[in-house]
Amino acid sequence: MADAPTLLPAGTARRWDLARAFLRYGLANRTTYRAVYWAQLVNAVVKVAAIALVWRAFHAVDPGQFPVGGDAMIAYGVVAALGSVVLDWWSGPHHYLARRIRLGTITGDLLRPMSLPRQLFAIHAGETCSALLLLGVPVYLGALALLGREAAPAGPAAGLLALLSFALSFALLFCCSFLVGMIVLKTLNLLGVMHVYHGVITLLSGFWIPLWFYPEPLRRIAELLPFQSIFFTPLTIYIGHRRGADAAVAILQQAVWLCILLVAVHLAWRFMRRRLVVQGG
Amino acid sequence: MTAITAARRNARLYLRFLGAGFRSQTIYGFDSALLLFAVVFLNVVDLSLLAVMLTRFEALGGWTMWEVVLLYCMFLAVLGLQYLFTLHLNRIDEFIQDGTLDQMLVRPVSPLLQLVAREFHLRNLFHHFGTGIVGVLIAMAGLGLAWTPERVAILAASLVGGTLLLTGMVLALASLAFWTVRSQVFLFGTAEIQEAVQHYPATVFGQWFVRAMTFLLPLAFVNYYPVMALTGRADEAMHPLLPYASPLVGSAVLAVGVVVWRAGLRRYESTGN
Repeated sequence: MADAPTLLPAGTARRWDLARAFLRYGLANRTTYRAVYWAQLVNAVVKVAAIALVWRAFHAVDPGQFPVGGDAMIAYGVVAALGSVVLDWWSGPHHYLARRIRLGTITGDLLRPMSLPRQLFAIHAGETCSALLLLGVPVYLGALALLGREAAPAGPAAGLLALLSFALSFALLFCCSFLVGMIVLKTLNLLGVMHVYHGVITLLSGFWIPLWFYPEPLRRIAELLPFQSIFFTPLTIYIGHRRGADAAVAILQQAVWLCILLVAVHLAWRFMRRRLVVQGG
Repeated sequence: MTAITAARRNARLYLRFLGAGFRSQTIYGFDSALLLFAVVFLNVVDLSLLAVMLTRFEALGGWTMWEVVLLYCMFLAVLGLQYLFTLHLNRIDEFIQDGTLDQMLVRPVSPLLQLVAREFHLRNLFHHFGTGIVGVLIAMAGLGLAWTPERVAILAASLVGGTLLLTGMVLALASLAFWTVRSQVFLFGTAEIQEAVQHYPATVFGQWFVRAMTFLLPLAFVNYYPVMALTGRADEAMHPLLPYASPLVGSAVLAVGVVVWRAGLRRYESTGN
């Protein structure tokens, strides 16, 4: 079991062990209460079914309005709904930070031999992996079995590229949520900030309604911001609306946004660490 | 005489709690303002995206843009009223676990009355309810419907009926904590269905969904049927009287909630024992 880490330099092996411990913690967080899991599963199924039926209804009204076929549009909706379940932005680093600040236990987090952003990344990765395995995969397989082509990717290459793109989306969303967490630390108001964050993601990421339906000015604004890279990019790759060089450029754009946001996370945390005030003392 | 004195005392205490609740919520001015902005922003985003689609497609399931706006805002207004009076019913499981319920049981006043009067969530008057009512007014103007006395009565009765319905549903689901200890999961389990009923006309999902939302989990009486009554579409319903039945159905669901609460209370043994 310890074979792989011993091949690495001592420092790297230790960091890897720590990361695995936080990953396990994240997995355990999501799987502790069985009843919560079943409720989440019901919600995921309802969400996917509702969005598939809504797009089917819109498509029946006027197919000419869609730049893609009916099957592709329903696949967009199904995978978007699942993506929003797995890449959940209601919980995550911002939520964790707010809770730890309120309880004062963030002091313990700061003493650990791993930086707080890395701890949060490992925990969030564990939580997302469990959501993917326990919610995403079963509901996706169910959708594939029931809807067939209406849930399937445009092709094997599109599916694999979309998977890569979704992995980048996870990292992008983590950075965004971490930066929102920094705002929560400053304002100490989780609920208000969370509502605004949810509104921004809903409006600018294209997870609910694809950007091609947006009025021109709003679409231009969305294209200038990183949020469309979180959902619109992988979803359009999945349904084959972006393929070949177009898909490669879109993924490259995601990578560039990720670099920018990683720098922002680093700077924000360096600034905030010095000014941290723990409630109650 | 003693009953009247006790009722007066309860009313005085309720008002005093109300005052304390109001002061505690206004003391954090920035927080309240930010939350108000956030709730309005989020709902405006949802409505704008629905409007983007409905201006393009003109109708969804036979419902026009302003009808869908009315549907959405009616749900929001009812949700606001339910939150205003009974948001804390969501936390019945916490009250059982932390011993708050035990305190209520030793006092010589009905535990349900104590539970309901425990908190008053004033900010929802401005947030969900305020946003919802403004949306209802705008949508009615958009539809070119005049506020006749009949429509005002339908709106008022539907708001009350819907609030009773949501309160009854929350009370019933949260009271399951008497059997399961944790119950927030049951409330959470209906979240996406509520979202679907709020955002889209039930017919979009098929007649089976309309029937399920009428007889099984009667959320259609919160917004779908009242909007049919307000817009003169009552004859399109399964039965033409259903669009006017919100107060009746709401009262029935509340009665079910009270029955579940009482049944739970009868079998209750403190978690501390």
